Amino acid sequence: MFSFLYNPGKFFIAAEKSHNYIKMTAIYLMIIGILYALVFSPDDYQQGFTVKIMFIHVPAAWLAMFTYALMTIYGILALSFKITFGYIFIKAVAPIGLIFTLMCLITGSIWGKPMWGTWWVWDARLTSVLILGIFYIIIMILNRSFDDIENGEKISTIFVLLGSINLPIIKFSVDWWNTLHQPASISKLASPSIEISLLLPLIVMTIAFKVLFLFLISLRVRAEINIRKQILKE
Amino acid sequence: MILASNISCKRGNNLIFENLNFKIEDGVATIISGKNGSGKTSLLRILANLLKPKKGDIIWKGKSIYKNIDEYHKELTYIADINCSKENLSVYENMKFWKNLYKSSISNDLFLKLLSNIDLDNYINERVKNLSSGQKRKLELTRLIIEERHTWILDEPFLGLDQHSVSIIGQTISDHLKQKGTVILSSHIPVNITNKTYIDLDLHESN
Amino acid sequence: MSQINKNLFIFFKSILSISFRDIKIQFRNMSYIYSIMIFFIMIILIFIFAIGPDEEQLKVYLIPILWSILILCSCISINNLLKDDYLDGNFGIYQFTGISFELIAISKIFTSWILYQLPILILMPFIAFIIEINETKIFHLIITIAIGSPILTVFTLISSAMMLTNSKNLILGSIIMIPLCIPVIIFSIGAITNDQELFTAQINILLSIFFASLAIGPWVISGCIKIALKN
Repeated sequence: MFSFLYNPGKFFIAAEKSHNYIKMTAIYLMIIGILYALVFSPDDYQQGFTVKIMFIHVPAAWLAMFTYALMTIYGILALSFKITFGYIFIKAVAPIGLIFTLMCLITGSIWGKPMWGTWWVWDARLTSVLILGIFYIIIMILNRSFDDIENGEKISTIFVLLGSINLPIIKFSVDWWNTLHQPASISKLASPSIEISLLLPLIVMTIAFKVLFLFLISLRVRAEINIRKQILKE
Repeated sequence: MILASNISCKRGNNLIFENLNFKIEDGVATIISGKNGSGKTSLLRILANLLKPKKGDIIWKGKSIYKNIDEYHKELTYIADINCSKENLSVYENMKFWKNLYKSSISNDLFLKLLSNIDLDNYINERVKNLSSGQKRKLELTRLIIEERHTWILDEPFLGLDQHSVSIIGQTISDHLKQKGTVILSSHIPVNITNKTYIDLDLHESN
Repeated sequence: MSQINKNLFIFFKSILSISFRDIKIQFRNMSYIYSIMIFFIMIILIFIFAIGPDEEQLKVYLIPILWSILILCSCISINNLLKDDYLDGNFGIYQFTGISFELIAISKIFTSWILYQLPILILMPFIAFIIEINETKIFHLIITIAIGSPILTVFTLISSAMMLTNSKNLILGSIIMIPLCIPVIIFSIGAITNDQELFTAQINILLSIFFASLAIGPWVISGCIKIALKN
């Protein structure tokens, strides 16, 4: 029943069948979410209108990390159970992860300019998200810089797994580094409670982003499978 | 005895050979012949488990070698088409290293005997980078004796050797065959080996 | 019992012979090791010229700079560590010895540390003497380098093993290695520049990274070598 999750052919068929549904759901949810967030939810009394950036920033950040988790799972599947779909998946999904990471960083710095007065601070969160982005870039480079395609895929999958061990350590160490070097006043993003009128649009936006993510995955993975077929035919 | 069933090999986008079946028996030298690019080296690398065939299986002692890989490795001596001796070490140091690495029981006296057999005894303390290419190849072939293995896989062993050395190596191979050893080699040079069969890769060429 | 001991002895001899041979080859031609040491000193000089002769500033910046240069020095040897053995077919013959590649990876870690990190560790007291920082800090610096440089060696070997089949993009090895080194540099610099209580805590974390990398490293390295061999 779940074989479409690791079988390229079945994934292709499932993705083709569900293409339209996912696309329309993503569009509708996006429209609802954006309208809800921009028009119907109140401004923050301190941050004003800039708080609305949160509705893009937070789902993007979650997805940036979620993508890496997914890649790790598929990496383990690929290396230990010899499921080739894992390699295809990692190759296809790494750019999506990079896009969400960049989205998170850019919206973050747009929010930071009026709030903190600078585009960039070496805050622990910002730094570790930047490193996450660098990991995505390295994975993409590794996939493309080997003569033998299968070799590049295996090496980049090993790097994904290495990163999944190392990223938490990096996050921890950067937190440590940050508290040593800077006063903790900067990480204002962690607000203890959130108003329900802001939470609802956030949930809608999160779901909308997740569906968009699914849509992007189904597109990218199908493209990758097609490329694979082309190579095998030659 | 090694059985190859239906092995196919693909390098890059070219299918080199397809559905190859053969049998390698103990006590008989199997000589793999074929023109350049017909996949001699690839076939030997597949037999030495240095390359995965695209399809097919290799059966040894009634089992697939991929299920019994450690035991299979302990039977093999593989001599590649390149020399693996280190240029900055002397002839003796290289041989000593192989002896330690392969846990061989060969004594030091035999080293000298071996080297004098192939006219290298004057070079025993010479760095390998100062040897000629034929001498380097002969040094490489001493591994056959040092490693004391049952199955020999030799990729172009006579590359750059003179007639005299070729006959000595041929004699060594014949001696090994008499002790029911297995020898698989690829060569362009005709060799004087008593018991031999041929696998011609040109006949199996795809396309 | 003695039979088992003898077999064990032969087995270790066979592994150690790889290490000894690697060390011997490098010692025949010391120029590479000297070059790394000189490179290390040269970059310190460059930084001193860039910062200026002001002693107060030098005292603040030089320890972080020393650690950064240590990482750079590890990076430049990435393409030397395993490539020779791969190109002349030595990994091929290791496969038939019955020694697993994990053990060979451990022996490679050992030799690479001795060849490329130990000279810098020996150099360290002299450098510290030149830049005149106080004694406890020199002591802390040497301890962190002694714990941290094996970790760097493991990471260089990992990226080196990943780059075995790649001959066109040589800088990629360093790109893989540097992000992995971030925790090491943070905790070592933290251990040196902070006060005594935090020192032990950070050294403990550094030690845990050390053991973790020694546990995972050989496994990853051997996996990459096997992938490269089956190519």
